[in-house]
Amino acid sequence: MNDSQRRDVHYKPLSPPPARLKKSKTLNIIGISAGYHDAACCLIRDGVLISAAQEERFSRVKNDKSLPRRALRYCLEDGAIAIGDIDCIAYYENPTLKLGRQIWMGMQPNISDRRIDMIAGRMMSPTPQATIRSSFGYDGPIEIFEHHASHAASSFYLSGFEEAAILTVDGVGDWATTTYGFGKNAQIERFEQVDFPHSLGFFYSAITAYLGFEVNEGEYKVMGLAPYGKPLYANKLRSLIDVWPEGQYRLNMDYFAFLTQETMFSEKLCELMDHPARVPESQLDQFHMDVAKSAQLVLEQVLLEKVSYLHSRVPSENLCMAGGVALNVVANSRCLREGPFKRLFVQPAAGDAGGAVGAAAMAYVQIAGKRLEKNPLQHVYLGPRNLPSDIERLLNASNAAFLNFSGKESELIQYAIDRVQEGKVIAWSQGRMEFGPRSLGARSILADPRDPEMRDRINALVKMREAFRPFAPVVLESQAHKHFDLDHPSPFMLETCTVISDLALPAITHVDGSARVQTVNHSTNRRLSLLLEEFDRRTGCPILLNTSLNMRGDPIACTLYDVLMCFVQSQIDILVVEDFVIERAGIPTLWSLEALKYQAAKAKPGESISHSIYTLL
Amino acid sequence: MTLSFEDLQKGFANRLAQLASTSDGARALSMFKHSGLLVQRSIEAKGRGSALKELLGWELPDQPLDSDHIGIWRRPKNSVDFMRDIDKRQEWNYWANTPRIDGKAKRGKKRIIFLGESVARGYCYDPQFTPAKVLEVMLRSQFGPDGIEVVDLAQLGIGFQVGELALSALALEPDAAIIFSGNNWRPDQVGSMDISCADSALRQQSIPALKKLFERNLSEKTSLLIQTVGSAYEKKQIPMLWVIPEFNLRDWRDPISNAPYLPADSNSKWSFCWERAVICLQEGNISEAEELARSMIELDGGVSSAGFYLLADCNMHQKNDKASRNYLEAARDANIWSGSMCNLSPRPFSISQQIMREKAVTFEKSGILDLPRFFEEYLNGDLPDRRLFLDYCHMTSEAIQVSMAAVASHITSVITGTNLPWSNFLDQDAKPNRGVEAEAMFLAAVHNAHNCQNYELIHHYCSTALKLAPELSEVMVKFAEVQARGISVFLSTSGEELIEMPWPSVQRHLFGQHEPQLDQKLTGAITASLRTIGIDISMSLNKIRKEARSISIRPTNLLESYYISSADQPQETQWTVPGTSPYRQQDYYRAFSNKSRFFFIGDALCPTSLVLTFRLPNSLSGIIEIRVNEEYQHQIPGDCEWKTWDILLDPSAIGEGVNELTIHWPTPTYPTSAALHLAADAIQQGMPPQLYCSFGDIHSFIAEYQPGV
Ligand SMILES: [Fe+2]
Repeated sequence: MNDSQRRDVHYKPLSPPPARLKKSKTLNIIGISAGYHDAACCLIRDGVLISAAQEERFSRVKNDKSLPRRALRYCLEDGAIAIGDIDCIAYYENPTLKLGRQIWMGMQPNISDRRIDMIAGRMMSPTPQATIRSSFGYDGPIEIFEHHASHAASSFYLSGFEEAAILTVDGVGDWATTTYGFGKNAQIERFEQVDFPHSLGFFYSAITAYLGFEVNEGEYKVMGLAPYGKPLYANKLRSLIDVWPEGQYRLNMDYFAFLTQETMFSEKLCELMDHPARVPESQLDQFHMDVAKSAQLVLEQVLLEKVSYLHSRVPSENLCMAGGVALNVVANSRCLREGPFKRLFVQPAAGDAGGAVGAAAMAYVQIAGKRLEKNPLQHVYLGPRNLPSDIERLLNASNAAFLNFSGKESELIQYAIDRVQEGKVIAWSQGRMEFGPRSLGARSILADPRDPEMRDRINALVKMREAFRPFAPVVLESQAHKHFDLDHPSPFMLETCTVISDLALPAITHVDGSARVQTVNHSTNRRLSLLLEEFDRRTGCPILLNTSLNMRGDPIACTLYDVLMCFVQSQIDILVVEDFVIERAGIPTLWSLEALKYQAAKAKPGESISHSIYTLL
Repeated sequence: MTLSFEDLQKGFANRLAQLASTSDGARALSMFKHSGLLVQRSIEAKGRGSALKELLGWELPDQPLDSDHIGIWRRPKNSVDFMRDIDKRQEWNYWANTPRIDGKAKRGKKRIIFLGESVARGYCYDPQFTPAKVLEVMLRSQFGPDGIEVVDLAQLGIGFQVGELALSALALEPDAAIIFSGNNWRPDQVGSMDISCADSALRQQSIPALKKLFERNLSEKTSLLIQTVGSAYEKKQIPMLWVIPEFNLRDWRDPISNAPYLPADSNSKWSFCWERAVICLQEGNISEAEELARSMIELDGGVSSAGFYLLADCNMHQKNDKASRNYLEAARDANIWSGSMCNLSPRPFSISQQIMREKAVTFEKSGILDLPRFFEEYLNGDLPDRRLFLDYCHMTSEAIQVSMAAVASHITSVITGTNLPWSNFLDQDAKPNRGVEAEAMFLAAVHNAHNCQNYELIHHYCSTALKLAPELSEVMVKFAEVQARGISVFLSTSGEELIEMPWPSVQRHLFGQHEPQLDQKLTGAITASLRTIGIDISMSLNKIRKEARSISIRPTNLLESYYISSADQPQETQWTVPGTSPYRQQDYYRAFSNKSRFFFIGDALCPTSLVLTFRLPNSLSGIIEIRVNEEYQHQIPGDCEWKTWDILLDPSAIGEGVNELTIHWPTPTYPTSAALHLAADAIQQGMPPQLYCSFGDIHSFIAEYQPGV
């Protein structure tokens, strides 16, 4: 106490103040996915999914696959429980099965030396269970579930369906790459699976790599590029997949190299296509668009066939999907439109991050004997929030010029819509962060979708994305049907539909007239709904352009600090963070130095995942 | 059902995976690998790689004379000169601020290249005053203003890469080279050593044997470096001077840690001796203290610094500087094996120093400047201390001047054949001005505070800074404010004001590297030194702290690095430091001594509660004790299961401003054998081994305001 002045008080209480043991009375299950890509952690408390977040949002390493230690701490804090209050940790894949698959890869002829070393290393590394124990200090029960069982559970248990057919499709987890099953009440069963190396996910990723995009990241780009092309190569690409009876299919491994090398496709694919692979960042021409269209078509065709097969075995009206391929919203929508099922539920974190939720849900079912409460999933605002008092304190201690709208929500809405009408681009950070890969209005960039210049403008200001990709709209749920060919809510931006609006919406409409819609209502995102209502009242347009709040290559912003740094590094016009507004001109000059420091502090490569190939190991 | 060939193979792979997933299976595989019987295919194919690559991390260039890259400088195509490489912009700050280096010296001008680490950069003085500039001024007194140049190639933090740099720098066609390096020459992590030996050492409960492995590794690396660089320069007939660095023996103290796991019940004996010896020393009972310290070293086999520090203190008490020096050097070297575990500051190890002495002089054209001996002479036999050092190894301007004078004397002699005493080169022009010196002193105070040094030393540098330049008080005031508020410096108004102040060294060294810290001891020393020149900031600092961080504003996470960095317990706090993940053992607080320190900001008498989740190690049950500002609060039972406690503190114990909380742990049982087997398993798996005994674990620890109570 060198520089604090302690008052000398001689008062002593009559009895010493008490210390008491504190024990949680709830059933607390932690779900974890890690080690592959998109590590995540979630907490299911008494059957309710109350917190979930990906590790990348905290570590700031895109697709961080390391054990989600920060995300775990967040879940414990959010649930107001301690490490000793965890009743079970559920892990999302079976490490022994996965090791079996890796060893089998090591037994292939012509395998690279590097691969051999990596596989040998894997055999001697500590298991995820051991790492969870040593790293978290956790000594309670750990339940292991298979990778695709976690995918299936993550979808069905949150779907709200009493019974449904379940299809999971991804690159690979442990052994399976595609599974067929059904769910009924608390029970899930799988009756068929396709095993590695045959994988629809890897088929699509190989084409992604061939088109010069990053694997496990650029698949969206292929999907976005497809509408510009013609399916001229569909027959050729279809020959890469041998579709077998029932749920089975086989990849023609002559065209794929991922089994033995550090690339996805083989030279033979280039021969087949009569073109070399596209060099990343080089010119995109019609050929590439036609290949994208062809690959998308082949994926859709195979999926449709398999969805029909699934329906023949499970004649339900409901379909649940999960796994990375279920993030292909164009294919999903087509399966729903043209397939035999009436309703489709896709888990919003359909990739491996969502596996954490699936595993935890299965553990809950095992322990409690029943399904999750609050089903179907209402929203994915399951991440951390920024407290207005913290924001105010930081801004007050800085030289930033800011506006304080505390207690004046309608004025804040008026202000924001004034700016949107002036053509300004707004960084919008409100409430709890989204779980899953999409920004859904909690850490978003918003703008006027009617402005024909807006797509280029946002790309220039912050996103630097390929010009061919449109942005997505967010629309008031009550008005959605007037502007989009959509007869049900789409709260998670997991479907595409045709734009039928009388308004011209160039910034969010794809070249084929489609859009990837998110609908919002007052109960799930009140402030964003208010914003849309005001925009609608003034302009007759209940729609805003919505894209994620991050710099290119960065994870979506999470904390106030991330939000500020993204705002500083970009050229976005206005930041609205909770009740506070900073305009571009109000940013102190030195904040750009902080942004440099922020960039430099980013974790070193090595913790992040490779994008030249799916991280198979 | 017929199984395909593929199915059969997959079944085999699955069975092997099941076997490998058992602990015996995994261990057998791993031992096989480390036995060398299962050589990794890629290494075999490449022929085991060169020793250089494996040990030092770089390889001999094919044509060193034609190298187009020297550090951050690059020679563009068709150019003779080197320009700073824009692609390496992020690294520019680690080097001299030199946009361009001529490919060749001007006609008639001698060219000396000067390589080294932060010591050679002139840490805390750079860019205003650097060893290279001092050396150039001194040499010009002999060679004339246009007769010689010193090219500054020193880089902050360079380790064994200095060899690679020295080889590429041959492209500059130097007339002589100086390498002033060695503080960052460290042995590898244990995972890159001979695992079979490390495994055996641990399973036989011998950390001293493990230490020998580290020493052998460092000695191999140092020898190889000197051999490689020395012979390359010899071949070109270019004279070289290796400057052997010295360490701040008297003033620097490594944060004291317990001994690692020792065989049988030696740990308890060791702890008993330690506690007793400290008391004896305080009471002036030197002979008993000495005897106890010797027992400690006998018990731990020299793998802990504590016994050596005690012996050094005893000898200093008796004014026996020669013996003190030996013990202080032994203390400095004792933790060579635990570098990453104890967050050891850079230092020259005796092994490296000795190899430089022996090996560098085997080349006809190479010489050494032995700073340990040179400084001893300069100080008339005194131990090196704050007169020569700013911290563990960075030198004061005085040390820079005298050492560069000695370098200048050597260089003059090898180039001209004239032998002049070093004192001839001391030059008034080569002194920093008062302001620069003051800045360096203040930066030293910050650096020492952030490296757990004692209050007296930190206060010394603060008050020296103010004596030299009272106007530096503006920097100190603002710095204290920034730390009190705890917002990253560039974001806050105080930070902005601080950066606009005209203090170049402060600007270069103080910002961008530190996250805000409570800095309890440093702000205390700043406040006390400012008071002596009539400035009182205690009230205003306290106000800022309370506004920004009081528990009445929001609950405080006592494990947050802002607070816990003030505990001076680096072993305990390392897990909170970002970027250390490869060596992270556990993602929670682990105590390695019987007392853990925590801090929070409170208001006098404010009702405060704690939420503590903790456990005791090794199936121990016992009682922990909680104190606030040294006042006893509670005893709480604990065992090996995590338990969470709500704890109300006596409000009368809570002071205004910074409050210190301590947890006193029960004595552990030291399960040496089991623990070292686990450590060996960890090494096998490429994980960091746990070699110190835990006293208690804390998973979360929150302090909050309890208005209702
Ligand atoms: Fe997956």
